Amino acid sequence: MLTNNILGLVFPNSKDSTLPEFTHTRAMGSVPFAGRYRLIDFTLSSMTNAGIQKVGVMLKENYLSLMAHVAGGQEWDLSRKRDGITVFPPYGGGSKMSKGRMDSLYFILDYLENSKEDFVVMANCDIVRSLDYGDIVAKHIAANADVTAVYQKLDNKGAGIKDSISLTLNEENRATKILVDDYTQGSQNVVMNVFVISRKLLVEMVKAAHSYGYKSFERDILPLGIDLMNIVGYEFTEYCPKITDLKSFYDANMALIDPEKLKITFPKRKPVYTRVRDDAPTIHSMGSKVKNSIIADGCVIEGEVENCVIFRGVTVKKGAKVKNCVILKDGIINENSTMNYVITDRLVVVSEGQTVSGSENYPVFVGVGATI
Amino acid sequence: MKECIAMLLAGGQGSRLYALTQKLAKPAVPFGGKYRIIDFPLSNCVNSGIDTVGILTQYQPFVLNEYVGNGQPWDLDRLYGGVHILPPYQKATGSDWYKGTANAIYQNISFIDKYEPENVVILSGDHIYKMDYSEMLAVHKKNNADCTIAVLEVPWEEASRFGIMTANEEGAVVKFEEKPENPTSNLASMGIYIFNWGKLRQYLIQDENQEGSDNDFGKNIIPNMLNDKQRMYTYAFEGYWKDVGTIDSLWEANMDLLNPKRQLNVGDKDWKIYSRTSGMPPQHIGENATIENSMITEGCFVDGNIESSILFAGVTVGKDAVIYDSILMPGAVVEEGAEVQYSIIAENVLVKKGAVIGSRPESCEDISKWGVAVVGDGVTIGENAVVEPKAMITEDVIGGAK
Repeated sequence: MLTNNILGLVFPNSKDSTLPEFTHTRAMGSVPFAGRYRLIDFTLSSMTNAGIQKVGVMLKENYLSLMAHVAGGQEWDLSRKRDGITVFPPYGGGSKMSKGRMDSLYFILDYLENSKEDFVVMANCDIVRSLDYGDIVAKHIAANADVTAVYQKLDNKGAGIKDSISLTLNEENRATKILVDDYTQGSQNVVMNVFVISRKLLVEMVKAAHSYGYKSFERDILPLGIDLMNIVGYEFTEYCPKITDLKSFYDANMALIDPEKLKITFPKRKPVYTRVRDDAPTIHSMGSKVKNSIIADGCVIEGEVENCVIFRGVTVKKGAKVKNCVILKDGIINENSTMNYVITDRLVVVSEGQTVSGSENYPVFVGVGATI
Repeated sequence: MKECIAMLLAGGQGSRLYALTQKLAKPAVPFGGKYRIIDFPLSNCVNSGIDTVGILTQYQPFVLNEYVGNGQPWDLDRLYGGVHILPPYQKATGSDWYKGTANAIYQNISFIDKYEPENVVILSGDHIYKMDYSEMLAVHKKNNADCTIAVLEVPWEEASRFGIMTANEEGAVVKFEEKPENPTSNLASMGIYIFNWGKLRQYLIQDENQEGSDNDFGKNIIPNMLNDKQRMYTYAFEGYWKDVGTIDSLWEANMDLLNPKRQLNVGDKDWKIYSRTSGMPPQHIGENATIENSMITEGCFVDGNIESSILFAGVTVGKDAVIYDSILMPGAVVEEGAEVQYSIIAENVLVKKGAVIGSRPESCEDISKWGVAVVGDGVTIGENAVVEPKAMITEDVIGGAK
């Protein structure tokens, strides 16, 4: 199968509500991750690595930083004469504003109808792993599926897995039930918000959803069509954290301090591409101490850093002690300050001698550009 | 029509870099953690507003061609202009390698003519420096010069290693001597020239017809123009500049990046040095690592002891390994307990457990035998093998051997 028979659709605003600390100024897709990436990089790079050459990015709100990041798509090799990336800003205004995925797809119906690809991969930007879309589509075809939903098995110990859609699958791997925030205890097949569908079927769905007033793909269309359509599960069994709140964002960053997890998250042969900033290499000064950490380029480390994820262009001055922190780009940690379990958004300045501290189960968040 | 385009001489073999230039041209030699030497003149061009650059290649061009590509990392992918690789080519009347620096430009007269430039800046691909060519161009225009040569004051005792310019008070060149025994000036030519294109074109053709000419800028074009009393001026450059044509100078220039006085700051946001990046994740510093006074970049996994060293993209240093005063180029792996001191380790070298490479000058009994050790591209140094200081390794060294 030629992999360019797939159209990619990315929904970077989906799940914005789960991470309000970051998303009040940006879309989920442009939430920074792992020192130099943004969440959308995983989705776009997976598409590029699968040979997908036509990608639509569906924007909803707060998309300034996302648009600046994606721009013409050149970093993901998607700046193409034939096809390539198309960024769709929200369409309509006032009461006509799109209200859900099906509604927003209705606004690009021409684009969907005029595409030549047989299959569509729809993906959010809330998981921090690259997926093999080529394999997922191949299995979709082999199973003669109408819709393939990629899922992972998660254990529900409490009152349901936050903001989740789960599948009940029969022995043929076909979905018999689709539940929202299922309260059942134990193992659940939780959808990773990656779906494969034939383009023609999607077009029909979009038209029908518009006529009947359905807004959501996974909450309206899929449960309604469960008996009519062959909805098939594709289990992803490898390590794949999902960002559902600030703590899971923190944990997913920290997990990369394990070199094995860092290596599988950023495989050599299928790189995760991102916008290049041309920072100089990081300087570890005389007297600095760095342990168990991930550090991007453009940093100057004079103080102590332990168990941290440090983004591009961060300065840690002499005598500063930074532990268990996620410091976003261009932060400045001044002399003799102490930080423990803190997440700082970009451009945060911690003044000389300050102490900022959260705890392991509740890291403190410091917003964009704040000075402490 | 362009006001000024650049021609970058990148064909040199760099034979004095031995093991490092077996498979690639000197301008493609990695430098400073995430750059290659050619990034400096290319970045200077775009930062100076020059958007058309011809790169003249001849020796081992493959790595360089692939690296430069369409010029996008330097913002040199342009509709009109941009970066162009110019290898020697076959013509209706026969074919020639580039016989000298001037001949390389001569063979590309039609390329330059296409842009109808007023001026052409000639650069070389083996110097590390940051320079605003637009300032030099302004001086060139103010003097209404035919040729402007960038010069740098060098210590008098070193002057006889350079092409030396003697200038009058207005900066006009009155004398030029190539490596004079008894220098009368300490203004060294940096190998950076701005020529009025019409004038240079005329001298290139004249030089080509001159039998026995070396077809070289320093030996022929500049002296010929000076003899004819053309308007030639110096442009005094102040700042960091280093010819990295030898192992020692390449090692020193890298170490200069670690100098806290930072004569050479690659982190300047207003004069970025652009490069084609590795696209690797951030560096991972392990539990056992100690790092001081070093530069480390993306894709590295460091769990050893690093001091005064530069680690390029994708370098791995195992537990208890020791890296002092050394340069580890992209993809090099130093396994547990190995020791690397005062060395340049080229791309994708594997240094196995317990191997020892190079040493400090203090621990060398005969200082005349001491020098920076170099391990060439892709070489494997076996377990517990020893590589002496100043050694130049181009083939695998088996375990335990010296």
